[in-house]
Amino acid sequence: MSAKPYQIPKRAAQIILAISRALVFEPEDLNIPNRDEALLQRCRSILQELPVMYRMGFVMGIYLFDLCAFLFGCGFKRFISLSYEKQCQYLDKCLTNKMFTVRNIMSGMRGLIMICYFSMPEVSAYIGYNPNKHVKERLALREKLLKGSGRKA
Amino acid sequence: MLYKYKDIDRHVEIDCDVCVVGSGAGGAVASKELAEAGLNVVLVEEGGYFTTKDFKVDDTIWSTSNLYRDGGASIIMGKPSVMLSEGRCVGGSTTINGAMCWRTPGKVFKRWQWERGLYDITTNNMEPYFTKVEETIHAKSILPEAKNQDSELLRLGAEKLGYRYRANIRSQDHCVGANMCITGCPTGAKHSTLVNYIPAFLNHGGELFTNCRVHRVKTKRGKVTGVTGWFVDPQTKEKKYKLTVKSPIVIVSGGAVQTPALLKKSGIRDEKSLLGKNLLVHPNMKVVAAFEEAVNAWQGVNQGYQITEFQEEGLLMGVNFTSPGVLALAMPLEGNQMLRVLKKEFHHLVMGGALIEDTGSGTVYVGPFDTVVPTYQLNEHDFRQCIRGAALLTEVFFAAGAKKCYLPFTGMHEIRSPDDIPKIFQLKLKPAELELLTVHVMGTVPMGSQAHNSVLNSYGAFHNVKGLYVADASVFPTSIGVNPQVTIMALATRTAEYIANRST
Ligand SMILES: Cc1cc2nc3c(=O)[nH]c(=O)nc-3n(C[C@H](O)[C@H](O)[C@H](O)COP(=O)(O)OP(=O)(O)OC[C@H]3O[C@@H](n4cnc5c(N)ncnc54)[C@H](O)[C@@H]3O)c2cc1C
Repeated sequence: MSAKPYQIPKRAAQIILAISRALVFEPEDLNIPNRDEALLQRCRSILQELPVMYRMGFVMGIYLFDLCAFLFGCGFKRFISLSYEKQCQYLDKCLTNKMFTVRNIMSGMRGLIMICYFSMPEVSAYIGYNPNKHVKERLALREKLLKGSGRKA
Repeated sequence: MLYKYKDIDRHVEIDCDVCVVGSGAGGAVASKELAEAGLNVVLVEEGGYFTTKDFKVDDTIWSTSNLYRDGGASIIMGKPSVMLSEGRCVGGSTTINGAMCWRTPGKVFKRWQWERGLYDITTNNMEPYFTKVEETIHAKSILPEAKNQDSELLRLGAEKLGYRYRANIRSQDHCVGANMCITGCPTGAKHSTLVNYIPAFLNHGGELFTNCRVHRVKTKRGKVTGVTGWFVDPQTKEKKYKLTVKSPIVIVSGGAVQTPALLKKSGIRDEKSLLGKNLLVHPNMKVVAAFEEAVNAWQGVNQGYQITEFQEEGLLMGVNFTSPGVLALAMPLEGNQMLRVLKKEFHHLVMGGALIEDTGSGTVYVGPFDTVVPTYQLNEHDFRQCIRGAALLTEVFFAAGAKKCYLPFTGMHEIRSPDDIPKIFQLKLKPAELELLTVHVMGTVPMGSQAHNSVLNSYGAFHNVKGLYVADASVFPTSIGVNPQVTIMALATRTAEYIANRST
């Protein structure tokens, strides 16, 4: 049997999606079709490239984060069962935690999810970033300049 | 001959004169020079082969997962941990770098001479190698058409304050400022080794194996005998076929993190156990400025200028655009309102970076399951330099007319007037609170004249293993304080010349 590409475990995927919502508040006028799938697909692409130990560490970190909400003062609820406001508060507490290790793990998680989130074309379009059009213009300009100097693009 | 993953359907065994591991700034240059000198060279690269037409302009994640190591999510552990970006593809980090070109400053060579006995590496002796490299990579000034407003603001700020700056020389040919250097240049203007040294290497009969990670450098009785590696399926990451290269000369050019890791895993030791120590990173501190008028930093060339006023003190400053995700990370304290902030301000933001010529260092460890763990400890001096760098960038931005600057400091996230800059120094910050990143790793297999303070001689040859060389950023004994690609390439050219002269 041949190996398959890496898949994020289902429960970890749910937690990642909940974290992403708490990390970036989404206004109503932003519509991302298949948002969750698109985001997870991006996270998967990056996680697949990590060495096995780091990938496992990341997923364990996600579980731990979820569980710690239950253990540390969120009314015996896991992170994914909290209300949105409570999720935001808990996430904020973790990101600014006094313990360096907690902050460090959290900033790794945050980094990965944010990069994946902001790389979605709908998000780019929402903030007015349109690299495709820009690059097309620049390519045309380069062709013109090269022609002017008697060379092919 | 180029072998992509799909071309390999069995274990491969091959003999050659020289085997080079890694196709980045060091490896591609050494391979091409040696193939040109008539040697039979095999180049092995862990990453895939992608060219201009493959690069995806609107998909950062495609780029990070195909062109970067660890999908762009590498970390150097420490207090603070440092985000690390390095290439893992044909061309190595040159495929994703900003193309800035600097010769090694004379003060650095002098230090290498005095402290490490490298008396044959002088500005004069290196001149022909620099010239050769600069010609090959088209190190030139940028065209006026490529200019970028964010760089112009940096220049304006510097001029107003009377700070010296430099118009950057970049490895490019008719670059028109697509500003996509770090996700693979989509116009073909950037001259990474992917577009100059690698094609020349192949034209001279070199053999390039891609998607193959070298796991061992083989030695016998103090002599190198070759390498072994595995072709890895790019989709499933399954180790598929084995590569065995028999070669009396091996050059390791995997970059300053992977090179010492590979050598350590191979059981190679130096007299004083220096291998993997002395990891230098040029820590980079970010400040984001918001301007009243639209700047559109994403249009136009990456880093048109650098402020050199503080170079002697180990500080170099510039501006560069990065994708919205990375920009969001540079403003960590906006909470979950980041999207709102970016919608309002994206076109008005400029991201500045201060590069620190570091004096502290770290170590590269190897763990189980082929894990490589780099660690780094920012020392007190470099910590102060980071704060100073942030303050100076803020000053330059205000001089250029910024209405506010975002700092990555808890307790002072936003600053609206240059009068408040001194307050930065009153914050009770700790090193662990900084958000640092690096794109320049160096120093882990240093050169020197003696085995007690170095692993390699001045040509990159191991003091104690015959036929084994290193040609990449690992060979630097100290930080160099400027963007390193030209230094790496010039030293690799010199190493290749040395090997070619001894082999023919
Ligand atoms: C985003 C970014 C921007 C930069 N901007 C600039 C700039 O503007 N100017 C400048 O001078 N420098 C810049 N740099 C730095 C410069 O590109 C690097 O310092 C330089 O490329 C390092 O050269 P190297 O040979 O040491 O390693 P690399 O160029 O990183 O090449 C190492 C190669 O070895 C391969 N490899 C590693 N281990 C193995 C193994 N076991 N088996 C097979 N292959 C292996 C890797 O996949 C990689 O392709 C930048 C770097 C980055 C990441």
